[in-house]
Amino acid sequence: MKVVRQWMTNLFEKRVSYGKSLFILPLLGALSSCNPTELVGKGVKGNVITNDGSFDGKAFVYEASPYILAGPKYGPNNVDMGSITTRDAKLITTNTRLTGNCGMMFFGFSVSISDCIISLEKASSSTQPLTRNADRTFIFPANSSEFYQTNALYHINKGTTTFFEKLNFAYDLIQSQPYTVPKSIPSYLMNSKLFWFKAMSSIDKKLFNFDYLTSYALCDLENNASFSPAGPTLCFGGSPTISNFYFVQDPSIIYHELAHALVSVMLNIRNGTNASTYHPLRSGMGSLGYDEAGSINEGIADYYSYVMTKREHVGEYALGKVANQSRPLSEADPAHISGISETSEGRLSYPQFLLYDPNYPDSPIEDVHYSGQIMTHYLVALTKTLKTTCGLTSEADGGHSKATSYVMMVMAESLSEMGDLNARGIDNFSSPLTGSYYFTNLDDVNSYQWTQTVNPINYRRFSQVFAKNIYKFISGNLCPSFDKNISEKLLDDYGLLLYKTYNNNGTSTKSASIDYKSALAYLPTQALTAVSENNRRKSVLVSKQLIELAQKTTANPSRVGFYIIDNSTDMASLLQQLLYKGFTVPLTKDTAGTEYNNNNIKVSPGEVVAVIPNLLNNSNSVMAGVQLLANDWDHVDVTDTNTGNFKPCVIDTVTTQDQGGEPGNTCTTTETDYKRLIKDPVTQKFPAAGVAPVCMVQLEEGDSARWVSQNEFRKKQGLALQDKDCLGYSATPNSDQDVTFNPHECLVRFLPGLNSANYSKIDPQKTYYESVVKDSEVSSFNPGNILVMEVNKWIPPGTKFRCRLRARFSNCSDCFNDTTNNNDDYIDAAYNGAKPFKVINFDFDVND
Amino acid sequence: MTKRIRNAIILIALAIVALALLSLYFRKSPPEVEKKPVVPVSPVEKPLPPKTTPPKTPPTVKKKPVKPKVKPVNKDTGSWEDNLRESLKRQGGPGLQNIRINKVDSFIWEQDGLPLQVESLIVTTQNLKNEETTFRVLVDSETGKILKNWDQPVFDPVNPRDGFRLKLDPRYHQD
Repeated sequence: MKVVRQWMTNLFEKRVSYGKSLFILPLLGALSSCNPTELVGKGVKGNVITNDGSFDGKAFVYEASPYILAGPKYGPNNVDMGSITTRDAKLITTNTRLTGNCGMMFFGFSVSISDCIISLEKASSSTQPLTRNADRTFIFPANSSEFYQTNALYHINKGTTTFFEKLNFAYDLIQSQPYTVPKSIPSYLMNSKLFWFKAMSSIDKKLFNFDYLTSYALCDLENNASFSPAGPTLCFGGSPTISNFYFVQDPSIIYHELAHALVSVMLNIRNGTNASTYHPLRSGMGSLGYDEAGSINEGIADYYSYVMTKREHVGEYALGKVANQSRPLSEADPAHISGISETSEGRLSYPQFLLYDPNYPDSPIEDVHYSGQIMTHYLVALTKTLKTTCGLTSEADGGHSKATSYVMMVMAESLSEMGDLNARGIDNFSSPLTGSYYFTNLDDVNSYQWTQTVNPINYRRFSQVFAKNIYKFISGNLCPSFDKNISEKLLDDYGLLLYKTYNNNGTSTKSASIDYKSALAYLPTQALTAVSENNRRKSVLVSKQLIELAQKTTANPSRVGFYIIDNSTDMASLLQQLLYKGFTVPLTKDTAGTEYNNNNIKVSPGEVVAVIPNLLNNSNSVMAGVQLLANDWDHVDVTDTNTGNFKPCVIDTVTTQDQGGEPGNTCTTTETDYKRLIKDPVTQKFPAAGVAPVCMVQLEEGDSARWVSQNEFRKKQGLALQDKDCLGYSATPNSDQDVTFNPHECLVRFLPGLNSANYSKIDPQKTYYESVVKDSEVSSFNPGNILVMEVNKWIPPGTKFRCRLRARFSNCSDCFNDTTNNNDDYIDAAYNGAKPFKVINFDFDVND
Repeated sequence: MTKRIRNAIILIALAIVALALLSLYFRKSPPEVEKKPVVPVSPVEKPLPPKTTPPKTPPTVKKKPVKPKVKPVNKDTGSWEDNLRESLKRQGGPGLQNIRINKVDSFIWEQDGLPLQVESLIVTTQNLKNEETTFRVLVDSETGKILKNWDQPVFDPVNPRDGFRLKLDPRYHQD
């Protein structure tokens, strides 16, 4: 390829006098014969000398991984990426540095953010993006760090450009709806600019008003890639054992990681109202170890790779070549085992395929990347069905762009509602809703706790909100032929028809008698839409009464009710791992610590122990998405506001009135606010009603014994335990209620952040251990299965505790909806109490 | 009118215009001088008091209504960062090589009617392999206690099977 040297001709036309041209012409002739300028593509390292302008901002890139472009046998050692770059140079950016721009159109008004993506090598190297070469190109030698940074930006730009096109489509469609249609994607998105991130200007500066995502093409991460919303950064690592292998060499992985960033954007799109008012926290999807929110996040990320590449497989090179861990994205992929197909019976359905690894189908394993496949396969199937049902296949690209726009529109609308930390869910025309009306995530004070712990996104909640928006904006607008029945049948094929209604009647989070119309009179009353039960064939719902704590029986003598891990090395490793993953734990000083752990697999004074209750499924169907909560909840009746002492409510047959239980008083209702049972710093009194820690103590009084609060026990039992000797003690009484000293967890407490556990599934008539752990190759628990408890070193041995944990699961028939109220979903405040849950009584003695 | 007279009139008019322009250009606000009676000078006289210029008063600005400042119930003792580092080191143990704390904002966090002075921070930890993790915390400005913790990273390992797990103690299920 040769470049026209325009300066050769232009110079003569305009500038050079006749006399001079007699001298210059022969010289030029001599120079041109050397042919020094070659801008070439495939197979040649770029050594650009001149550029006539047509290569401004361009470079030679690899459009796909070596697996795709050079064949399955190529690599991974010492690959030459230069051998698979494009023949024609591609535009990387119009900026003079290796940065990208973002922008959206809002009904003709353009809002752009320049330098919204910055491409760097790694965190430890320069924080300044590369500038263009002197010849105004970004052509660097293949396989160099600069080459990878350039390619990373190329693909990230492609991914974000596509995302903004689809978000624009979503915004235009949704904001064009009549004002009588409640909407989640806010009209004031133009002002808040929350279609992108907020970041610090630099790591040393203390300003948080710049809008960019940093990509580290060759970051210091072994065998891993990551997205960090706190940066925000994308990090593409390498391998310590395979030379010149990098995650960034696989664009499908770049799109996957970028999608985690886009999920973060969509979740938080409602968490700011204008250029200066943002919620101080941000929503996320996924916690430590296994949980369904994390699974769905992985599923969406894999789906976005399909959106960008149109291929129904991800990570062929980066995951497949080095670890045989690439993933199919649809049942049509030959990587699947036989029996899986694109038929109703053959779909990768929930919960049967939660632990399925297509590369090692005989070795099931509980991990979000495998359980996320169900969501990916559903989204791909949905896209394909939309293409055919909505008549999109006649488009030039087979309808791919439009169909994926429909799906991403529903995704953005759904995630924006579920991630709303202002707890509104909808707006008042073009302004945020104000006042005491909340329609999602309880309220603006406790929304983070609700989204992350009490009512997190799981397969049930996601599918329900997603289906609601399909019904509203696709069936009801874009594509009526993709009607409610087709949508429900497809969801059911995947086992995701986990709800009985669409919960679309707009009831508030704290009162079923308050709805959208109460807050906004111009909105019509929203009717509750029921699922057609004829469409439910594969999605099996099970009653919560059939889950309980395992017990040793004659038939099952090896069954254990709970597992304790109190090995000090293991517990220290767990705590370190938690910090490495970004989860902080408020450990008590002196009164408890891993230094007291004695590895006797019992609960002993002073220990920090991992507790894994072993749940049993007494039904004939799989229970999936099991969540066990150990956070404070409304299960007591306060008897003395000076001390906060209480009687436990009679909720089941386990804690009776004879044992100190209270059947009436405040136990007949559930608190609508999440207010902990701590002393008010002003009045110095405890509230008359509130949520209390889960663990009570047995107080023996003569011949009788009753269950009391830990505070009452430590005073009456002659312990003379002062506040300073309690767990979680803080000298200052004034702090956030989550960390203010609570005397009712003086003796044992489940640590905040580690007071919720998740279990992928429990097979019929089996315990969790028997279903997932026993026959697995590692016979171990992942961090998501674990509750962590501190035990006060001053507890007398033999003290009996009862901790009232709460269990529910995603395919539960009576955990989420009120059968006495047309199966309408429980309001958020109900998750403060017992109704949506099965109470699991975890009893233990403190060992010597 | 003769040519001479016309020229003279034009000249005079131009001079007047020029004078007017000059006076406009060089015009100053007359200094505000305190008018005092002129004291006749006598052979033995006291010197005239110096001219004083009274201080200029700023123009009155219409004040915007100011939101009453909420007083937090806690106070910044200056030790929150040390306390935070200590708690992170306690959790991270010997595997924690380095901690970087960057302040994003400092504000009053009102929850349940209790206004607290808090620090919003980005924490970066580095382990012995030089691998870094970044996340956010909201910290009590008085005690350094972490009130909220969010924006944790999402990892995608090459092989999910290699992730961290806790082995079941072999004393269970010895069958």
